[in-house]
Amino acid sequence: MAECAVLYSGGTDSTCVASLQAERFDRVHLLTFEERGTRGSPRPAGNLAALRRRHGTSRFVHQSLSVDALVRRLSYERYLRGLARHGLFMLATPGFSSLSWHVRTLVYCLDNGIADVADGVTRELVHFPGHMEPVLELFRNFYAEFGVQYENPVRGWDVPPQQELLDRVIVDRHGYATLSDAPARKTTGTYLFEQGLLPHPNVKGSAFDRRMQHDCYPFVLFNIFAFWLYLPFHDRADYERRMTALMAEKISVARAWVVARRANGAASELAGLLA
Amino acid sequence: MRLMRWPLLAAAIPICVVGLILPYRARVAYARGLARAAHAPFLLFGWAARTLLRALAESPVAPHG
Repeated sequence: MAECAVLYSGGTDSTCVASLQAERFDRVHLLTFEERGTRGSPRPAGNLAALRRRHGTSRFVHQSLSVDALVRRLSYERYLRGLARHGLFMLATPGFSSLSWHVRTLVYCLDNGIADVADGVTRELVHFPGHMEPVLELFRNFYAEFGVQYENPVRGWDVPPQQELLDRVIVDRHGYATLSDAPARKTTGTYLFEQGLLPHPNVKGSAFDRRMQHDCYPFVLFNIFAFWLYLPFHDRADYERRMTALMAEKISVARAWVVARRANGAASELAGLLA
Repeated sequence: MRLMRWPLLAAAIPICVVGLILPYRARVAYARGLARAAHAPFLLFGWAARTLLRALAESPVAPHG
């Protein structure tokens, strides 16, 4: 039986990827991650039910996995050294969260013999470390070292022109999101609408959207660093280079954890962080 | 907009430095508080708009369809 894993928040993009993967694989493992920053968020039940109606109940396995201890460890391991090297970039909690999801996913794949992973990363919010192309390349290599292929099936798709008002004010002050007056052609929302999985082609930012996936508003602190403090005074290439260097260090730490877990199992540090 | 970057920088420095020295749980709570503060005008505006619409709908001169 061909199986794959999908990093699944329950939002439009990851639901689209889950649906695409269900066309290719016999079983799709949907992995939803929980941490302190997303506590109290609704579980992604609505779109999961829609996926099961569309593709069959047995096609999907849904798992909610805690990464809280892992995010905490990634954020603060060798913290003073990190501060000395990376300064305020150490506020990149969204990047550490992304890395924790990938580490947890990799462990899940190794434990369950799964060799394919996908997520719903698009070209929105590209100031987030986990959405930057060089960092995605690091993630791909990280998975590949353990024999797992990591893909971003909707990375090249269009994004809807509308953004939530707050995103426009706080996130998109510097034109990083791909806002456009032109109608979007192929988006994750239009795909799901055509599949009968969504009531409207663009629900992003709506009350409907907020009900179907978790919140992670603590990224505001990181946005303040990025959009108020760093990016107005530095170019984007410099920002990407520094962020990629930080993430490469963190991935190197995570790689050692995964290797140690393979060697020592339950006695390893990573096993303790995932318990 | 280039002028705006200086007051934003002045606001961002203390906000970020405080975030940097906080431990994990406190940092998450701090960031959540910042998010709520950022949303407050929108929530308030939404509440005001809903209240106004409700008042209009209940008004005897409201345009009922």
